[in-house]
Amino acid sequence: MKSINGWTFKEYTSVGVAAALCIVMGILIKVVLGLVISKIPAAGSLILGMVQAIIIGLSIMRMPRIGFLTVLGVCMGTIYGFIFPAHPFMFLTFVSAGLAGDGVGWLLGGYRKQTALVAAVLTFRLGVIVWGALIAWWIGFDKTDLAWTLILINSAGSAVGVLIGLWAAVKLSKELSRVGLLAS
Amino acid sequence: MEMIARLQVSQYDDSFFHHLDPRVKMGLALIFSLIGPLIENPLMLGVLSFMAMGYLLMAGLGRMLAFIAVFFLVSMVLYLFIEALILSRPPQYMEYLVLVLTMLPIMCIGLLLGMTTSIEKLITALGKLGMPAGMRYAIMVAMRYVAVVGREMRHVIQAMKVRGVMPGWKEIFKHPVSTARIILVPLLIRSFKVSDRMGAAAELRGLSAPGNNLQLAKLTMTADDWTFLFANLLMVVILWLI
Repeated sequence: MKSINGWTFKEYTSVGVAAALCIVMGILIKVVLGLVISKIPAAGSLILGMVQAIIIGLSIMRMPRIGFLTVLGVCMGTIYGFIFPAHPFMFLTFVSAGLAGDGVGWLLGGYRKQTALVAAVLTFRLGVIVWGALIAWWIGFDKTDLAWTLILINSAGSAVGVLIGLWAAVKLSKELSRVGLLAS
Repeated sequence: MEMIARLQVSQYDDSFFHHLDPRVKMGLALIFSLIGPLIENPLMLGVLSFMAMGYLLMAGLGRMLAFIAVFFLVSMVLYLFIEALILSRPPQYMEYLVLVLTMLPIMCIGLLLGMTTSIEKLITALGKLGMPAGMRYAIMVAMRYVAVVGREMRHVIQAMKVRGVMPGWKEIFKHPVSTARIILVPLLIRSFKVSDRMGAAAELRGLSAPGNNLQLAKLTMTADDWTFLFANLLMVVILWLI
């Protein structure tokens, strides 16, 4: 297969599909469980972190290439940053979180190692939350200590969610290997 | 004069905003989201919000204003809850109003870009802004697949109902991990298969052929585009300086 920048179209498609799943799941969780999770601080971040970790984790297990999180960040960042809710900081947030995640994955020896995968996905999710705080700061939340309280609560919730999600992803990878969608 | 005449057209797919270059709409998103929050006068923020809502109405997207209203209503409930229970202080209504007025124009412009731009034009515009073809292809897949995921999920849920394994609301909240498992695994299997097929189809259609730069639409910045962009920049800067 021919490639663009060292990647084949099949690989770019995998990332695009993973980005779409993350976006739709994010919207669904916020809309369907919105009323319930808004009553419990960090519950939203925990569930979202868990579901996104399953999707991203399994997609990376299927295509363990450094750069996955950066391309995913570009896809999600373009949609969130220029289409809805259209804050350009969202683009920067996702791209920098993706770069940080890939950097961690590369430093730890690539995504074939489980430690590198866990650390990279965790860095990506936490990066999105912490860098996303820039938006809150820009639109005026800095007048209160609300943003920092939320960042701490959401980071903790998200970290727990990502760890549960990746644990589930490792278990699910066995089912996917059985149907031939993942190399065992 | 022609530009003013086109501004008055507010039918679906044929408004002034549908014909604007996507780069101009991205520029608008940048202007509204980077300079807008610098405006401190609530009155001027209100003017900016009305300007953005006017654009939505002119693009024939008035119904989206109801969506925005619901969004702010839900966020207000969340905001009041956080203020009262987590921060234990009386709600700052003025602060919330300023926050809404800051976010409203950004959301309106985002919706304007999303609802009046075809994916082909957006992908071509991103290419003209220097984004590599592969990344644009991934974005195109993501945007197209967002619409497909809903259908795929319906199929998965239907199949689960037929087999009698669809969990009720109680089970969803009691066992979120196993619910995620039984919904996500079939969805991921379907998605992986679709992504394989789409990747192969892209190769077969020659998208990876040398010289193919994913130019899916013809785009040129016209005088109308530049005028509209600079008029908006000027307007927002004036509102900031007042």
